[in-house]
Amino acid sequence: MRAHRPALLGLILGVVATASPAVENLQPATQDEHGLWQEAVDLQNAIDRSGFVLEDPALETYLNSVVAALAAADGLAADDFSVKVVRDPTLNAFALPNGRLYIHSGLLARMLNEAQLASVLAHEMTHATHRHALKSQRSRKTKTGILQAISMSAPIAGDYSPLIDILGSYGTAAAISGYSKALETEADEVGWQRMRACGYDTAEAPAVFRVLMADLAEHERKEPFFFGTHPKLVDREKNFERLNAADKKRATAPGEKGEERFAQATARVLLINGELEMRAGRHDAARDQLWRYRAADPASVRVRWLIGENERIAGPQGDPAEARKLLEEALAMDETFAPAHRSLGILLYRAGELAAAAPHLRRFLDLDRTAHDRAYIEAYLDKCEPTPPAPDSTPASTPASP
Amino acid sequence: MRTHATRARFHTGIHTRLALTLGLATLLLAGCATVEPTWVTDSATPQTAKKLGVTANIPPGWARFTPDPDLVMTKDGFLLQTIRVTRRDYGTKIENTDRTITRGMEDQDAAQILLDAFAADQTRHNLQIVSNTPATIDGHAGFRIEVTYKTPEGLTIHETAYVALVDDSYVIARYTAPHRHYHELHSLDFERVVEGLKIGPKPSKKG
Repeated sequence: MRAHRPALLGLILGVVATASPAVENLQPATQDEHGLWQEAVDLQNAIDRSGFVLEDPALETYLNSVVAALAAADGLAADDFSVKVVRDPTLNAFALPNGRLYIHSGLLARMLNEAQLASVLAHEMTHATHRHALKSQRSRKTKTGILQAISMSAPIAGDYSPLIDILGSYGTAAAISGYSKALETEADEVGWQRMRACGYDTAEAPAVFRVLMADLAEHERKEPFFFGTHPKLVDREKNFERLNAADKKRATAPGEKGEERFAQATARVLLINGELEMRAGRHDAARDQLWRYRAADPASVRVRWLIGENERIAGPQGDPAEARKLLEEALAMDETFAPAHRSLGILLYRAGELAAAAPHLRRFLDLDRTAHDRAYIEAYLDKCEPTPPAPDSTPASTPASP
Repeated sequence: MRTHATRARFHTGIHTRLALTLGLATLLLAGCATVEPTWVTDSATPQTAKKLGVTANIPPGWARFTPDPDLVMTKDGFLLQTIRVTRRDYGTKIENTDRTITRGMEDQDAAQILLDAFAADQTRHNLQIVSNTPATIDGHAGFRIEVTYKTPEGLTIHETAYVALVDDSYVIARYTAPHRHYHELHSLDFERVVEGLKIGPKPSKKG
């Protein structure tokens, strides 16, 4: 693993002195905190088993290295923390009281550099190191009852976090659903100090909020808990602007953004999340992320297929000509890539080019013997290639053979 | 921000949740004593959900829960098997996706939207698509999808859904049961319910 230059930069600049006060040890101390940790472990296991966690050891190594640098810059034990990515295009990140951090692929895919990532991770680490879940639990004695009500009644109301379903009545719900304004502000401030101590450009922290506010305005998204609870997005952005304005050292030592390192380590997230965006019908976001991935991996067949498929299924927002071009490109690079045959075959079939569609539809069925939508494709093929009359189905006027 | 009014409830298929919801509904309804929750067990008389404009037969040994506006049936309890028939307007918001099923949409595309929405639902862990085929329901074009998934508690659920793409809306008939033992045991009952479905015009909201 490469040395973490921002941490070194922070030390050189001597900005560690501006870091947060010494935090408490990341271990449960009281009976109720032991209970909370057990709930956190149960939740962690449920999430990790859900099939929604992205399995990518290289990416995890990178994310853990960022967290380790942030921890080391503030005198914390790096191995108290670990990060996993949840395959979810919504914009969220959260920390469990035991130091496990989760970041959604949707959030990661919208970031542009390591400083932005560090601002989110440092914020989440603070929730753990400053025992925000415990404080939140103690301040809400009827919490379990409230949560049971949420997990029961939310489906009726039709508005809930899927992760609260995973959660059931776990007391760690606040870790996901957000804390009070005071605790969120504390996490912003301490997170900012850690980010600064680690040598990152803190101007990137409010930039995350600006990117996300624009995204939220464009899409009717689920409430992104990391950004959307108290204080509101604008307030959160102002928190960081205030901290940056008060930082006299920024003018001479703005810190590092880590764009290249971030882009290399997280490129695959663009491909994975781009597909999630496409399947969720957020075609603009999909287009943006997939083209960014293509720039990082110009030889990728899969990304050509996904960009083409996104244009094909986007309806009036799509571009069938572009779809066709990219799908043909994908197949020119790899003729055995079944999904591109399917997409191109359906595109041509629906454009009425039955003779051109048939070879692609047939090839798709040959290549993907277990395709779940085989029956639809076979029906299209029947229309492309009508079955010739059987030899014995002669016209009625023809005398029968003796 | 998500709006409550436009939220579709199509995805809410977990038995635990359904049982709790219905249990809560029973208590609330009993409390206000205006509408008595009842179980209809008459399998000889077709059951019509007036708000849906859909009629179905209750399989022998099953019971319909009323006054739920959908056609909701079980044999041994919602935790063990549930059939729910409902109807949605085209363009209705579907949970976990910005895509909607629209009038005139190809059956394959509509099926893919629902499967993608299922796959994005974090209450359905490790979703597997068992089958996805075109289907005809009461003379209407549509599709049949079958999936398995695990609940957050680890129970494997098997779900089969037929969707009829009708002129004015789409009708969904779903059968949900634990994969082990129960789904197969009663799947024929579900297929007979679907065979017997009568889909009329969507009643106007005033009526």
